[in-house]
Parts: sequence; C-alpha cells; structure tokens
Amino acid sequence: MIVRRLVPRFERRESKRRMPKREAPPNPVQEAGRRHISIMAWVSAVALSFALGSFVTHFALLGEPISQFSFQAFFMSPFWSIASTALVCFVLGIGFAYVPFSWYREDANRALRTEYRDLRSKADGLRERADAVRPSQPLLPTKRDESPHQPEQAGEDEGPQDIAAVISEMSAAIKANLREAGAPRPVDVDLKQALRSISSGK
Amino acid sequence: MISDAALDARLQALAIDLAIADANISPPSAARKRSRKVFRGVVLTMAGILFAAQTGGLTLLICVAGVVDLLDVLEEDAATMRLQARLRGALEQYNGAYERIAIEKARRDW
Repeated sequence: MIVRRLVPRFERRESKRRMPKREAPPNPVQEAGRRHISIMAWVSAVALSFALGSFVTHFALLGEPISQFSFQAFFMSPFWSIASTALVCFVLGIGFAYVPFSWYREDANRALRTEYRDLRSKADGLRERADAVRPSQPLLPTKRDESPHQPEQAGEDEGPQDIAAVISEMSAAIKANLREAGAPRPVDVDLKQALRSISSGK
Repeated sequence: MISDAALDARLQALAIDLAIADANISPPSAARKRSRKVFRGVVLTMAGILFAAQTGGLTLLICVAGVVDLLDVLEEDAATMRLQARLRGALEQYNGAYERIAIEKARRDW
C-alpha cells in the first residue's frame, strides 16, 4: 500500500527533476528599460571618469589655473590629439572584433535551433506513430492515468451520465428553492405567539 | 509502471517545451539588427571624437549616442549568450527525456 502511494510521487519528483521548468518569458519592455538605465549609468560613469582624468592630466601637464581653461585650447592640445586617436582606435577595434563574434554567435544559434527542431520533429514523429497505433485513446491523461495506483473512491469515475444526473439534481434543487422563496408568506402570523407555542411544546 | 496515456502526455509536454524553447532562440534578424547597431555606434562614436576639435566638443554628444548603441548591443549579446547556454543545458535534458520515452515506447512495441 505504501509502495503504491510512493510510486506516483517518485515519478512526479523524477519528472520534475529531469524536465526543465517552463519559465515565463520576461517582459521585454521592462527589460529594455532596465537595460537602458544601466547603460546610461555606465556611459555617465565612463564620461565623468574620462573628463576627470583629462582635466587632471591637462592641468598637471600645463600647470594652468582653472579660470584660464578653454575647451577650444583643450581640443587643440596634444593631449586630446593623442587621446582621440587612442579612442578612435579602441572603438574601431571593438567594431572589427564584433564581426567574427557575431558570425560565431549566429552559427551557434543556428546549430542550436537545428538541434531543437530535430528533436521536436522526432518527438512529433513518435507522437504521430503512437496516435496511428492507438487512435481511440486520448492524448491527455485522465484522472485515473495520473494516479493509477490510488484506490478508487466510490462514485468518482462513474462517467458523464452521472455528471448530467448531478447537474439535473442541482437544477431541480435550485428550482425548488426559488419556488419556496417566491411563495407568498403568511402575513398575519404573530411571531410572539408562535414563539410562545414553540416554547410550550404545542 | 507508467501508463500509456501518461507516457503520451509526457511526450506531448516535451513537444510543447521544445516548441517554446525553439521560439525563445534569437532569430537571425535580431543578429543582423545588432550588427547594424554596432556599425552605427562605431560610426557615431568615431565621428563624435574626430569632429570634437572643430566643433568645440559639441559632437561629443553624438559620441554618447554611439557609445549607448555599442553598450546596448553588448548587453543584448550577453543576454542572448546566457539564454543560449540555458537552452543548451535544457536541450540535453530534453534529449534524455525523449530517449527515455522512446525506449519505453519501443519496449511496448509501439
């Protein structure tokens, strides 16, 4: 008896362990918003640190007071020419490096998609074969299939006729209740007298 | 001993899971879109840096837009890579589940 009860539980646990969970797809709008906020934070941090670094370097190199600082002079200085060249090379490097990276990513995605579709077609083929062999049986499990080892309760699996009987009984009961509620009540009933008669046992 | 209907239900659930996972794999159009975005980012950043001296630093604003594009693409790629790794792991589990179901069905002479 205990073994009978434990087997379906074990099967359920096993299937949970083996089959990966179906995750709800993330909300793309929320995700994009979060990503943009993080990117803006990144960009501001990088821009601030770069500006601070360039200011410090500029004043350390030239030894000028801040009041004499001009952007025009800064952008014409050798510091900016070196820094801009380095930045342009860095950005170009990122661009060139991205090309083979994107090829690789695309290829990996294609391979993964092919593998998923192969497995899916195999599963579909197996299903079709099973349907062809046993066309009369339903695909979805019934209550009995999910818990085959549990003892049957009386009146549980009696079929759709019984459901119809229960529904007709329920509707008859509802109609009877409505009839009672709709019936005219006696108007001239004295409640005090009725209570007195109940308490005296008449 | 699992019943036939439960086995069929597992097979059906597996097919549904595979379809969902297949739909989650990033399509090639998304990769092309990201490549275009990288190109735009590189061009904007370079233009912003190169023309900063002539415009007194105003084009650095374009540069910011370019950097945002680049970082956006890098983040999207990282998310796609994470998803791909997860799907790769899931595929192995799905393969195992399919093998078990196929063996069970073969044992029952289906």
